[in-house]
Amino acid sequence: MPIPMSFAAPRGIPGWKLPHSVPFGGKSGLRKLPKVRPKLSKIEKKALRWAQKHPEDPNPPNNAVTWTSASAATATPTFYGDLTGRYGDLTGRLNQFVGQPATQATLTAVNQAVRVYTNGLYTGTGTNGWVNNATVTFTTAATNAITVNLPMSWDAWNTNWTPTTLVTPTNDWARWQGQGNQADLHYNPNDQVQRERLRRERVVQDEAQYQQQRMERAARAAEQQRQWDAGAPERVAALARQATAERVRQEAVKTSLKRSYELLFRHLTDEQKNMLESENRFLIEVKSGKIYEIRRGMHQNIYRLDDQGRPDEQLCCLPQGHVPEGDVMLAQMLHLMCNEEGFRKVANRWELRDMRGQLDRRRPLTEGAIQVDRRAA
Amino acid sequence: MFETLDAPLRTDGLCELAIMDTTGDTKVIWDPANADEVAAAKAQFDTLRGKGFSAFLVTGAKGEQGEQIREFDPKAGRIILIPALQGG
Repeated sequence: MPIPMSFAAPRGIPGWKLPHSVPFGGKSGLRKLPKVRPKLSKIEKKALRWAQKHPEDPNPPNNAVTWTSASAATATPTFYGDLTGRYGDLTGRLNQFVGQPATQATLTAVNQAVRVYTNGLYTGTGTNGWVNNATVTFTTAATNAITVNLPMSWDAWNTNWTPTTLVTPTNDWARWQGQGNQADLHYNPNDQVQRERLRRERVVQDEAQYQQQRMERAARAAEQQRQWDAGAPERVAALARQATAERVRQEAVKTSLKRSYELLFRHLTDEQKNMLESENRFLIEVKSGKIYEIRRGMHQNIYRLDDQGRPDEQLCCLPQGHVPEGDVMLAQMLHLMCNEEGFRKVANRWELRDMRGQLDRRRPLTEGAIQVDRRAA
Repeated sequence: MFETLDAPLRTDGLCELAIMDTTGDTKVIWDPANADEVAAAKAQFDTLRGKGFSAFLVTGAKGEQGEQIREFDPKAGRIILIPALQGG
């Protein structure tokens, strides 16, 4: 259920959570809408400042073009372009001017192809009623001073405007339109037929643009595919080299393992060989009379056995470097048989107790730590 | 020590130095009567000993005896060189 915008979120109620969709909510939960300010152009800001400063004359002087007719009663400025439609502001301004009782001006189109709206009606003749190159005559009844308030863009256009100057579409008028002498100059939003035609044109343009983009995407994809295909042999060769190297490496590992076990087996008795093959371990007796059990492996695979044949200490010591498994066990065996004390100094050792009837790995014995001799105990 | 090792020594009168490495082991064989071969084997032995290798001499008719040695014996039947130990 949506939360009313005017509903303030109660404080101190456990579990109350503001919906995530409430922007600017803050802790109060009230929806604070941002202040909407119309974006004004510099000219509009300037006009606004002028209107605030001069309430009696809201039109800034830069936007006012005062034209004084040659005669007392009639003036004939020359326009080029559309006086209606999108740029109907001029028409509106003129209508305001026309409607002012002080001036009592009338707006008539004396040339053809003039279409000037006045309160929804237009005066003028010509094809579609559009201004192409028209002369509009303003006739004043009471005064010869005609003031037309125009936006700055119009003002820029009117800078060069004189009753006898024809503004060509390549200068100010065209710049004001921003699009040059295009058909859009004659855009009339009230013309449904024209709007539909323009809409269809836009649809066609959009479709053409879409097709062009699709073709470009397809071309890029094809180029990428071509580049990928071009690199395929190289990639396949690289994969083949990698596979070959891996196969060679695995073969080398197998060979080294086999050689290490051959060397180990050359130094084991038949009983030890059988034990190693069947139980993955073998026993050795050292000078001190102790019996060690070496299990198949490389790490933590040495156990010292007590007089009852149970392991009471675990050792871990192996040659440096990547020596294969058989060599590791042979090295451990040789070191234990020839230099037990030296081996024990280097090895990491763990005291094992079978208090629960199973092997229990405890903390490593550091050098000098008290070793529990279970037999002595 | 090595009482029942089934590792018969070479019967051709040559001596053997087995060096443990990543490939399993590398054999260096020399003739005790050949001074050059002996010198080469000794150089190899000394080099590896300098690197911390431990040397074990296997003697006896079947290699049933052995001991750890520190000097090269040109008449040793089989010597196994093991890289230095480290705690695991």
